[in-house]
Amino acid sequence: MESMKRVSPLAMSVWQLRLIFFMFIPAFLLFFFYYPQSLVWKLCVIAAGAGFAFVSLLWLPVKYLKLSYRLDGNTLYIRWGVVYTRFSATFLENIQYVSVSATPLQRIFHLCSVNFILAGGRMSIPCISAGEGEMLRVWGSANAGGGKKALP
Amino acid sequence: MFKRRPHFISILSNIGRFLILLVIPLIRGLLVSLRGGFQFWLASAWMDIAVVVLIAAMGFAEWFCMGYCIDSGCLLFWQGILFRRVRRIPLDKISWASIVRPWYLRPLRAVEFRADTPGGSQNESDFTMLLYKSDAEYIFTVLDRLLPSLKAPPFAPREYRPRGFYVIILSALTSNSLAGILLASAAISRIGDLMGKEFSERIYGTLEQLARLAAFGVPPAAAALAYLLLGGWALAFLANLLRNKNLFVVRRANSFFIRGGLFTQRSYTLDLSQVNYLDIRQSVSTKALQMQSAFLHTAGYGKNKEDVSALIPAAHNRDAQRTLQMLAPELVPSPRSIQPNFGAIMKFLLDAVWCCILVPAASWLLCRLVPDWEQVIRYIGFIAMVPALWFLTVRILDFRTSGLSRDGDTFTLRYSQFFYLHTVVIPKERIVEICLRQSVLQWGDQKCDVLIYSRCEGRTRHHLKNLDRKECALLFDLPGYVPTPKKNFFALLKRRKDESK
Repeated sequence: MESMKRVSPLAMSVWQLRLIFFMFIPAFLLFFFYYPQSLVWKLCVIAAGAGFAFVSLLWLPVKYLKLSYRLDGNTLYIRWGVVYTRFSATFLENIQYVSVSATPLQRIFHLCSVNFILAGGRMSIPCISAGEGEMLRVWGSANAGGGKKALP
Repeated sequence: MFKRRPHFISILSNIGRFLILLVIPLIRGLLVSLRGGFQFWLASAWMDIAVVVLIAAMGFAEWFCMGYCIDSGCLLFWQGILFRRVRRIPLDKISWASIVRPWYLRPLRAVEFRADTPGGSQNESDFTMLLYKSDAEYIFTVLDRLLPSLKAPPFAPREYRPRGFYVIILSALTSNSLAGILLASAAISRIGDLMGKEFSERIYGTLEQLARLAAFGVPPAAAALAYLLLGGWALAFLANLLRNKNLFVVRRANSFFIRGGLFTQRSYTLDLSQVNYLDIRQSVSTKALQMQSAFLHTAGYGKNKEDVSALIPAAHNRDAQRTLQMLAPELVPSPRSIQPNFGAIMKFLLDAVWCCILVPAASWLLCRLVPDWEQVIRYIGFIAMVPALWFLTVRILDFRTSGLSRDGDTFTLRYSQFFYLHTVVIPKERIVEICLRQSVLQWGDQKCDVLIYSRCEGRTRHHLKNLDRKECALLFDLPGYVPTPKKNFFALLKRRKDESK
């Protein structure tokens, strides 16, 4: 049996850059509304720094290590999560259609997210390589609703 | 080709959409009252009459441009005056159809016909129209005739009529006070609109006086709240009883036919192949009485809150099992094979224990903050402990009965949701996604929560707590999720490293 496949290592870069980008917003608000070196300012800086370190050094690496997927016969497995690890599985006849999307940041790194739309739910694999995503899309669409076709 | 227009009474429902045009005579009347008198208004009354005639004409035109037909195995319907919309629904995709006969439409031989498919809107049926009774029954017959053509083996129809006592139990179980309060307040407001504000204020005032008289030693405000909840529940119970009265179920080869209702009669036909799962529900009281209710879940069925959604309203456990064997032998629950271990008890009870602690704690805190209201707060806190203890009882029963089993390609899930215990029987092909969720605390002994998502228009989740991950993975034929045995931490690291290569 095949082992679970991890997503591209560049996913970490995308997530870290996204985190840095979002940190600009509270940083800007803090700088705008509070006097530097005041008590509130110091507390906010400490909290923001601790939050950034926690997410960047612990949360995102654990998220990357746990995120994996596999196609096994007629079953799609996706493993993901940080605090709660989720082992999701769906049978391929449940897939209605597959969509591939990419944010501008993902496109810079040639990554994409694949969404499998089910009849009553959805499963996603974020930040996989564009080539792999396109392959999954073609294969998932061919197999949607129970059609059988081997993975190229 | 069977081609028809809807019942002419639809003109009245169509007119409702154009009533916004009445704003024209309203504005005109306002301007006239500022400028001149009655004579001045009468001189230009032709404008008001023209608007009313226009509204009626547009309602008629909408009805004239609306129609439906059955053509080449599809239900085709069209509507719209300027922007025409045509929709074609294949008859074999229709999972559910209903005929509703409200008492006020019966003299006109009009019925509300609805049909639904697994796709489309989650909140509305795909096809809704006011039809002539004979036309609706003809479509029903066509749908019924279509289903046995799906290579069904010979099957004698089976009928089930529940006893009146069981219907009363179902109505009591499915009534909630909020629904009744909303019903009553809507009715009183409507009466106020028709007969003047003073009349509705008089009703509210009378209710307030009655609450004061019948307080019996408790604070009047708290007594009013209690009587309001009781009155609301009683109204909801009456509405449910009238809806579920005369319930009658027929099982044919590939379909169910369900009928119910006293003043407004409702009839439904359900395609068996579109049934997602069977849900057997018990509350604490019915569990104590050894009774259960069974509901079918299929796309569209039960979407409208007035729908009759029960297959078996309420029956003794033995009777319910016998009836299920007769009506739905494919969906009979199997005995538990996987159940949570004793160590998982706190996972089941923690939420309920928190409620039992926080309610008295919040009451104590509020009494300290607002001492003038202490009596009312104490009373409300005491009343609020009842659902908290009820919830704790449900969770204790859930721990004792929760589990998973499989019989061929049908799974039986036993879990609780809020104040009800559910036994869900679901075929494998109706399961859309299986998720085994492990928290950090569950990692050590390889237990997990099982989340099953079933096929429907929205997202329906069935949550089972703290089951063995290996047993669940094997039960669901997911060998990829069987946990590998742990030797030691370094062996695990090495294995992870090999897997990533």
